[in-house]
Amino acid sequence: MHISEGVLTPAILAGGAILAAGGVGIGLRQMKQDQIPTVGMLSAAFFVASLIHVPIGPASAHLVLNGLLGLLLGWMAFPAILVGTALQAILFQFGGLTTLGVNTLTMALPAVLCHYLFGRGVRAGRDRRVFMSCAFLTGFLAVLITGLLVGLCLYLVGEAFLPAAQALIAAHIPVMFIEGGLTAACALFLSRVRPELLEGIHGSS
Amino acid sequence: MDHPEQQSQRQTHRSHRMIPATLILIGVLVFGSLPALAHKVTVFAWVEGDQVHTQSKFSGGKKAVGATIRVFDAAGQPLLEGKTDQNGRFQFSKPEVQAINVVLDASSGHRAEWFLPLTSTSKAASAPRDARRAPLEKKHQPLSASQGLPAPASGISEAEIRAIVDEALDRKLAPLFQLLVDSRETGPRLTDVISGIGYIMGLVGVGLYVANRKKAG
Repeated sequence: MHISEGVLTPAILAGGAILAAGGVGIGLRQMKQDQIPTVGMLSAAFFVASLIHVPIGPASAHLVLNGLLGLLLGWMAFPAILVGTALQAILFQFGGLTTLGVNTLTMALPAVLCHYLFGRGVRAGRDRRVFMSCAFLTGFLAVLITGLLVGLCLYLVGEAFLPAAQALIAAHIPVMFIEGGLTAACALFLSRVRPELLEGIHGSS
Repeated sequence: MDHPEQQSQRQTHRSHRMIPATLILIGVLVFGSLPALAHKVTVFAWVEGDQVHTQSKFSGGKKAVGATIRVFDAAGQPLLEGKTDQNGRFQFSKPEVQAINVVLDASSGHRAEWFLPLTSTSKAASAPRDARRAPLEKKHQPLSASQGLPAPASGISEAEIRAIVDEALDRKLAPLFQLLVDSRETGPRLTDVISGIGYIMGLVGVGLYVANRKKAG
């Protein structure tokens, strides 16, 4: 879900960069010292996940993991995703340096959104079914909303919104299910091994 | 009997439990993704005879099928447009311009360009070409004079020889171009992946250092 260089207009690039910078600022302010390693490790997971391709559909779609980051990090997903996207741009040539802001925004904003939508359901966690479905929806919807945002960016530069968004979302349907499952599995694992990681965000957000 | 010290020790102990788990996750992600597949598109264009061939693919080798190819001249004027076939190929007859810029638009914000100068391979007897040929002939003249070689005696005109050579070269070079097309993109290497993770760990270190100093100061 990276937008390449030369697709968007400077105005959109600048707007995306400013909004992303705001998100990164909020994330950095919230970050406490003992959370830094967690943020780093999830950033590394995000960075590497983009190499895993789901070879279904016409385009090439890869894992994003932004739902997982949003669930565990809240606003701190912004700095984590910024670092991951920057390294993907430099080392893998995914996206580009000029589109860094927009790409960070389109992936981190849905993460934060899902954090607020489903974080409570995951944290409450008494009912296993509520817990699992909230975690699944976090992973699923984060990718879906990212697809919509990328479609919106392309719409702003004159591509027809509906076909662009449809193509993007169609290409990412398998990714959505995989990410939903993956996020649910990670949440379940963490709830057993280290539940305070899921609780921790409660205090910080 | 829980001293606060013990409690905090247990806390750190617990938080350390997550580190191996995450490392395993990252390890699985890294090695599960080999051969590494990447996520970007590339387009490569070359001339064969009077046709320009283009090959588009996502790095990692997946062909970009049905993607739009737009061809511009050096000044940015659009020349033609088409769609890639099942093999990610698109070809068109060579336009009569100095250079072309082939732009691939594989939708969903994927875009790539390839700049292809055409003058050096142009078969048309254009002005710069004649100018280049002149010194060559001058060089050849004393040679043929000293050895007393007769001028083309077989009745083949220079233009015909040129055409034959061009054709033979195209034939010989075609596999080479194919090799270039195939080997051009290998996607991210393991070193890229590991160095990226290294950078992140470094940033974590810097972050902890800064946070520590803030606490101490």
